[in-house]
Amino acid sequence: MSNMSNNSNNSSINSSSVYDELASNLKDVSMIDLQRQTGTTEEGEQSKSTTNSTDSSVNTPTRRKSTLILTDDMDYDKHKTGSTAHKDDDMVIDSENDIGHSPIGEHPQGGQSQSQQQTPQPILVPTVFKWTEGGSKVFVMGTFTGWRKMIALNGPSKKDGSFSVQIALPPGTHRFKFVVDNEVRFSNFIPTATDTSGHFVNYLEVIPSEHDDYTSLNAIAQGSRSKSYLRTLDSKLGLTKDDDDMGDGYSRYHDDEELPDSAPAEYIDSIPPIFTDPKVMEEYYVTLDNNQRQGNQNQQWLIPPQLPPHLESVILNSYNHTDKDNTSGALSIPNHVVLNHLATTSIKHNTLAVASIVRYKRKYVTQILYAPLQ
Amino acid sequence: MQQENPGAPSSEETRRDQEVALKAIRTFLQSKNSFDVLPVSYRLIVFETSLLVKRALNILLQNSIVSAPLWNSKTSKFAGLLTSTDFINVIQYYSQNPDQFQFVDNLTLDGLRDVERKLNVPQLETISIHPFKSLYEACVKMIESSARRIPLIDKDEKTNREIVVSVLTQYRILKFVSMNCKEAHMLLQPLSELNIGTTENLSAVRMETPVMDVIHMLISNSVSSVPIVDEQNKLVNVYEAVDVLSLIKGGMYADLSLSVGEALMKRSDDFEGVYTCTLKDNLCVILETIRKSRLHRLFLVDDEGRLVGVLTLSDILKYILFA
Repeated sequence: MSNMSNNSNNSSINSSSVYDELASNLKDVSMIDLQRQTGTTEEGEQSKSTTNSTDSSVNTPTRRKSTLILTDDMDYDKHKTGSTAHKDDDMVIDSENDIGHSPIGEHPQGGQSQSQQQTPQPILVPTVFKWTEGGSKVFVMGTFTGWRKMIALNGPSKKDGSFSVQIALPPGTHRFKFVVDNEVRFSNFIPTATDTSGHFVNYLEVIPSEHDDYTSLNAIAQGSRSKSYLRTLDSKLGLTKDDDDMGDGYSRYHDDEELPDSAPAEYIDSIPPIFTDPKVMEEYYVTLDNNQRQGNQNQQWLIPPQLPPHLESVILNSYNHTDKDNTSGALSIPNHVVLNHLATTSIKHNTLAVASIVRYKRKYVTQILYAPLQ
Repeated sequence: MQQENPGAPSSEETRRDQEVALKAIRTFLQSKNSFDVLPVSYRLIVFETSLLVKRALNILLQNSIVSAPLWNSKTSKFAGLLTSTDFINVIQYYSQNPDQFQFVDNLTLDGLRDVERKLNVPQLETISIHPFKSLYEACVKMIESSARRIPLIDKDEKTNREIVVSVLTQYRILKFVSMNCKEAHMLLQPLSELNIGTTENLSAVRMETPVMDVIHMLISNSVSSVPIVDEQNKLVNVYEAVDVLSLIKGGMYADLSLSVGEALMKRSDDFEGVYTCTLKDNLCVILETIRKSRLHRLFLVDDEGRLVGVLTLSDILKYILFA
């Protein structure tokens, strides 16, 4: 904090008040961090084994949840606090120009070689932050620095006077603001939104970069190239070590070539009788029952497939009605696979609620419609 | 934020700052649109117009919300906004026409329109605005129609049908200004110099006043709340239009012979409280309070806590936009 207030002394009154305001916000965040930190250190003092277990839980990449949370990135904070618990809590202004590809994130500078050996490097995507709206000193800060550290942007460039820096970020949604000549600003050229606490911020979604081969895979999906192409591609991807030649005159067996061309599946627009005709439906269930009794395993096709696991975590179920700060009905950011699905409640009092998450421009609306059954 | 010399007119500099700040906030409202205020991901509850009024009430209370946009699925069109005013209209109608009371359980949101037509009161609020129009325009529209919230309506590009995008309230806009407009800190002129809020013809009730009388006052004065005072005119509580929702929650319109004090016992525990300010306070402090708490009006009181007037969110918006 001390660095910041020194800087703001030089600036004009107006901007310094905002700056203080920001500083107080930042203080909030760091206090939360601090609490969490003391929490971990206390644990550490109590017993070594606890520390180890927390460390491993921090460092092992957990299975990605299907929802991302737009409050201060908790998972991310955990990562940070886990590995920087020994660091002091002061605000760091990073004037280092060549941030380049240095991974801001999972493993900050403190060389934790041991844990790095245990866990695979997380995917980091080089992301460019650009400021084109003037100023002489530009920094960026956001969820990826825990709102505490500011990263200097290079510039102004001689070409267009813009500032930019490339930061390697883990995939997900990142919120950030710019600090231009000691004044907190947001860019008008980057998507903006209001977060759960009501702050207006810039945000962007970092998507894992696509492998180069992806484009060629795409080409196959679109074109009518035969499977042999895929095979050579397999070897190119390192899925198989060599071509089809197995040596000693043998070549790899492919059963698809021997298959007779089955008639192409046909799309119809009428609903199959199994869903409409009660008689057919009954027969279907009788057949199901019989098969179950006989323990026949070959009738798997009769049983409807299970719900994909990512559809089971319903975003609305995590909504907290009692959170008074959330005056805008903000929800966590949905995983794209749950978009455009229809979720329903059970019918109560002759009323049905259906919900679906749709994109509206660059934002997500979870609309719940209550309607009576006619 | 207290002035060194209360009662003395504020300095030339304070006045100039106030002017500069107002201009800056107006520019801010013109440069931002309603879409900007929306979070990246949010929830929106919509009612089909054939839903029963009593069901709609339960759903509002379940979700702790006080209004919802309506959707007519026959015409695929936005059909106005359901607010606490509509429930007050229903109460009003059945108290005037007790013979109709048997139909109350089967009243649908569609039927509510007919009731309101018979009462000759303004229809369900049907103003709306496109999400990409400026916040300034949205505020002007709200003030013109004296609505406290405005639905954001767009058209689907493919089907050309209406989409209800969200609903924006005066509170959210003021909170947005307070959080993101640094010039709000320069609004240091005391309220006494601003000619803002209502200080005359303000009606107040006592704890013993029948709740029905209070509800009639809400309608006839077209206000969203009525202050409750004691014998010394000291402010003790407030009856808000949204309190009607919890009043009729159980058996609908069954027990309206209660006093307003008894009716307040039905209010939910998470009531935010009554907010007050004095004429010495300034908008900087008030916007700061708005930022921290979900309030919809502040009552002006004197140093002894006696009721002087009321400052609503629309008063504040009007001042920011047109003063």
